[in-house]
Formats: sequence, structure tokens, C-alpha cells
Amino acid sequence: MKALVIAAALVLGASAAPAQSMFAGNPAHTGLAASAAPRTAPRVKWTFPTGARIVGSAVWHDGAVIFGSDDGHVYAVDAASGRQRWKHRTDGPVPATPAVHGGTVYVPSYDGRLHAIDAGTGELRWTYATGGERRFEARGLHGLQPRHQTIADMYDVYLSSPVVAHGAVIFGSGDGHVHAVDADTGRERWRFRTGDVVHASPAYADGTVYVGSWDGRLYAIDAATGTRRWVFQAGVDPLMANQQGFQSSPAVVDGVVYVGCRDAHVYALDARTGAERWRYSTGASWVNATPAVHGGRVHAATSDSSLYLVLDAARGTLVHQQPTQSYVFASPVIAGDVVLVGVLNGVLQARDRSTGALLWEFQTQASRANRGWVLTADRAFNSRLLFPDGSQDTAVIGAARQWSTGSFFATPLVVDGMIYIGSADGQLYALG
Amino acid sequence: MRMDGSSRSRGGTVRAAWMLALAAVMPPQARADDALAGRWQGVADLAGEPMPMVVDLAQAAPAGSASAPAWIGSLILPGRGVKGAPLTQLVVSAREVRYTLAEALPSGGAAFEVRLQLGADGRLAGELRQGALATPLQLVRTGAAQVELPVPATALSPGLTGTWVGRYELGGVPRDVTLTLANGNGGLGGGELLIVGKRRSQLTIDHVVQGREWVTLTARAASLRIEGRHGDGTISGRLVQGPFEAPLVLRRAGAEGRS
Repeated sequence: MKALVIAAALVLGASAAPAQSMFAGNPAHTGLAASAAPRTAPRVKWTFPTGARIVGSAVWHDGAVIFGSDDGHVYAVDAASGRQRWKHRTDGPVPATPAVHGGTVYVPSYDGRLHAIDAGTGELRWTYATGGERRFEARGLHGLQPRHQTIADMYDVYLSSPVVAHGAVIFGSGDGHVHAVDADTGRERWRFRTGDVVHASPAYADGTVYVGSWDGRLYAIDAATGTRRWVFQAGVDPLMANQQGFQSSPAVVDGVVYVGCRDAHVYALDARTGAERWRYSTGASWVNATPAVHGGRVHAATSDSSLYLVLDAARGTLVHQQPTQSYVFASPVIAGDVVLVGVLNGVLQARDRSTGALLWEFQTQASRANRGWVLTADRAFNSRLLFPDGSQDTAVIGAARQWSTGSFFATPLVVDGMIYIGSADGQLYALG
Repeated sequence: MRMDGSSRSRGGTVRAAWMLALAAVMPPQARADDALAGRWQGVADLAGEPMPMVVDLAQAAPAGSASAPAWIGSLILPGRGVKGAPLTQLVVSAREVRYTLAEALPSGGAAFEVRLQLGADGRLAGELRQGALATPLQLVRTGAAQVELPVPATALSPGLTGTWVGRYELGGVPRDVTLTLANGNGGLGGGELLIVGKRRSQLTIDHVVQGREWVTLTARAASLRIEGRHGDGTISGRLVQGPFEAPLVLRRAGAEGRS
């Protein structure tokens, strides 16, 4: 009996680790962690400094935490010691979550290439060139001046995190395509054209790839052939492109696609047909975080209204909501009976999964220092200080000052009770 | 240059020596009596603009070397895109540390220089200077050193030595490339790169990193590199020089046009 228990534990352990090998934990992006997170405030076990902000999330491979940094490198850090095992240089920032499959790390860079790297050594295996990276842009974006000039979106912070399915690495690109690349050779299998930048991460379930584009549409694509199965049109904002576009990635659970949109909604769509089952309005607040779905509940979060939302997965009704003080772009993670939510004010919140009650917080030193009063006393962004006028120049500077609090864009990785999360202060934190 | 296969194993030996050197700077091999070794962290105040700095200092010598351990160091500048850059002109004597940031923050003018003294409180205190600009700097030891060494050069396998040809385009003008690769007397790979377009450029490939599937060939004086996947008689990748990048497929000389 004891041997059986040990064997079962080994099997569970073996199956749990690969589940943390890509964005939001698995190909369906359910947002479930491999283990429970602590219910009491953890301590900083180690920090690993990089040269620039960390935007993408970390994944797990063979005792190493693997992640990208905007300093242009992909890192593998020993989870136990916090020491670097290897780093791989790309020619651009890496604000994406790597995917690990078959001993290879796949990650895109702002250099316009997907990099395939040996997970054990950091040695490059191949690269695949897309049509090049760019941020979403629009005339008079967010109502900024000059009103008739195309402005790149300073909040388009992520690159598309790959999903590996059917022996292919599938990811979106600034060239407006979804690319499927042979995982072994790096040769293109298919590419699917959308109407704009694709920086959301594709989700995969039952032979279908689901991904949203900045054109305001969510596409279901045959994973084998790259042909369209259905398309869902969300809201568009022809005036200033503020209430438009999928930055959130879909989560697919039990035949339903759950996704947030910058048009201020959380949607539930039939995975087979694309038919809308329900929509939940957040007023005018973006939903950039990818929902985590478990136990009949959808865990989502908003930007400007700064809320952590729990919705009924079947009906889309609000179960409860909690204030996060500041914008949430990072995707909530369900880690046992704890939900972790990274906030752009440099605070990581741990909440009770059932009630939403705040269990503990971790705040970066930069957030605590609050240089220049970027944050108000209650840790909201001091927007009138940061954005004194409506020009694109001050908007770019203001956004950078927001990130100076050590914003958490990344989704926490939870393995063996330890939490690994990168911050815009350039550090990867190990908390436990 | 020698073109024999034996140099591969010698290159491997060089790489192994570097790896051992790296291991030598990791605890517990780090010298315990060395008050200056370790990870040091602080923030320079550039007239109101903070510049966090992480400095790793250690002593190391390649394994098997009879020479005394030398000081090595690397630098992280969070927020400025610098991770693991070597400390240049590093001098460590008794209770003083000096180095420049010439590689981390290249400057057309005066280099950034750091001069620090170990105080009785165990902190390194001194100043960061760039020409006439100066600011106090204090570093606190926060742990064991994690010095990053430069990517070690390697030998070339026999399958890559010899002459390669290819073509790329710049501004609509084709450039013919002839690349001759060999292993040098030190056992490391190198070569000559001839580019013929509107004019003729001859460059020395002086840093080679060959992996199982990927090779990077750098002409450091020109900040130019050729990199690509090797196998099946080709090196398939690109030529990169600063912001310029062009696809480049190299084939064995004399094999052009063969399928």
C-alpha cells in the first residue's frame, strides 16, 4: 500500500511539472498552479537581478525557472539556489512567457524571431523569423495628441507566448499572423492572417487553437491545417482604439472559451461554434488578464477599475469582487485554495479562493519607496501627476513611471509551495 | 591556421578549463579569507536619477593552471539592460577596488570609472566618476559572488572547416561572401571573411562559438557576425551588423547549384 502511495505521488509529481511548462500553466491556459501557494506571508528566499524589466511569466523545467527579460536574454535559474544555469541572448526584449516541450525552450523576442533553445544548456537550436515585431498602433490612440497621428500603444507590453501542440509551436506576432512552426525543425507549417497585431497567447484544446487579435476578433483555427473554424467579433473603437483588442488570452475549459477584452468585457463562447454564451461588462475597464477557470468559477481582473472578479462560469454573474488598488494586467493563478494576483503597483496579492479575502501581500521595494509619489497613499496610480496633459510624449513617460514601482505584469509560477515571479524592477523573486 | 580535427578536442579542453574556472568562483570554492569577494549592491545617485548596481567580485584561475588566481568581476545594471557585463580595467589591491564600465556603458567620451575602499563597517565606499562628473557610491555585500564569464570560444568541427560561399543583398546590391574557416594554433576556431559588393572587404573572424546545431562567427573589430544552423552542407542563418541584418545561406565552395 505504501509503495502504491509513493508510486502515485511520483506519477502526480511527474504530471504536475510539465503542466507549468507554458503560459497560464498548460495549453488550455486554465491558470492552475502545480501546487498550493502559502496562506501566510512568504519570505523572499532569493532574488535574481536582470538588466531590465521582466514582463513575461516564468515556466518550470527540471528544477529550473525559465523566463525572459527585456534586457534581451532568456534565463534559466536554479530554483533551489537562485543561481544562473544559463542565459541565451536574443536581439530584442523578451516580454513573453517561454514554452518548454521535449527539452526545448521556445520563446519569441522583439527581434522578430522565435528562438528554440536547448532547455539543459541554453544553446540555440534554431530560430524562425516572422514578418517582424511591432506594437499595436492607431491614430489618436487613447485620445492622445497629436490626434491625427498614429501612436504606438505603450500598454501593448507583452509578446505572444507560444503554445506547443500537434508537434508545432504556435504563437502570434506583430506581423498580424498566427504562426505554426514545426517544433523540431523550425520550419513553418502554416500561418493564419488576422487584421492586426497578435500579442495574446493562443490556447489549445481538442485540435483547435483559440487566439484573439488586436483587430477585435477572436479566432478558432484548426491546429493541423491552419484553417479558420469560426471567428467572434468583439467591440471596436474607431474613434481612439481604446476600447478594442484582445490582449487577454483565452482559457478553454469544458468546451467553453473564456476570454477578456479591452472592450471592457469578459466573454464566454462555445468552443465548437463560437456562439456567445454570456458576456460580463466591466463598465469601461480593460480586461487584459487571462481568466483562470476552476470549480465553476472564472477568476478575472480589470485594469482601470482595479478589481479582482469572480464570476459564475455557467451564467457569467458576479459572485464577488475585491479591490486591487491598481491596474491588473497579470493573469490570476489558482494555487490550491489561494488565488495570486499581480498588480501593476508592485504588489502581489494572495486571496482566499472561496471568499476573495486578502491573505497577504508582497510589495516590491520600489513600490514601497514610491519615488515621485507615483502611487497615492492607497496605492492607486497618481494619474493626474503622471499624465499632466494628453500628449503621447507624457503618456509614454507616465507609463514608464508607473512601471517604476516594480509592476507585476507577470503571472506567478507556483511549484512545490514556492512562488516565482518577475517584476518590472528587473528582479525575479522566489517567495516561500 | 591548422585544419586538423585534433583541435576540436583541444578547444573542448579550453572550454572545460573555462567551466572549471567558473566553478572555481562559485562557493564553496571561493576563498573564505577574501573580504572583497562576493556580490555587492548599491545605488548611485546621478543628480537625482538612481542607478542601481550589482557587482560580483571573485578570484579565479583556470583549473590546472600554476598561475595565481586573478580577480574577475561582472556587473548588472537593473533597468539599463546590462546583465553580466565584465568589469573592465579591474584592479583589486588590499582594501581597494577600481574598475570601469567601458563594456557595460560604452561611451564616446570619458568612461565611467568606479573607485571604492573597504571600510571598517564592511562596506565598499567611494565614488562613480565620468570625467568631471562624480557621485558618491556605497556598495553592501549581499551574498556570494556570481561572476559571469564571457561566452567561451570553441573549436570548429571538421564538418565546418574549409571554404564556404554565399550571397546576401544590401540596398538592392548583391554581396558575394567567401568564408574560410579553420582552427588556429590555440585550438580555437577562426577564419577569414571576404565580402565583395560595391567594394571589397576582408575581415577576420576572431570568435567562434559552435554548438550542436548552431554556430556563431564574429568579426569583433567590425561588430559583424554570421550565425546559423549548420548541417546538410549548409550554414543557414543571417549576417548581422548593428541594425543591419540579411538572410544568408552558405554552401561549400564548389557545391553551389547542387541540390
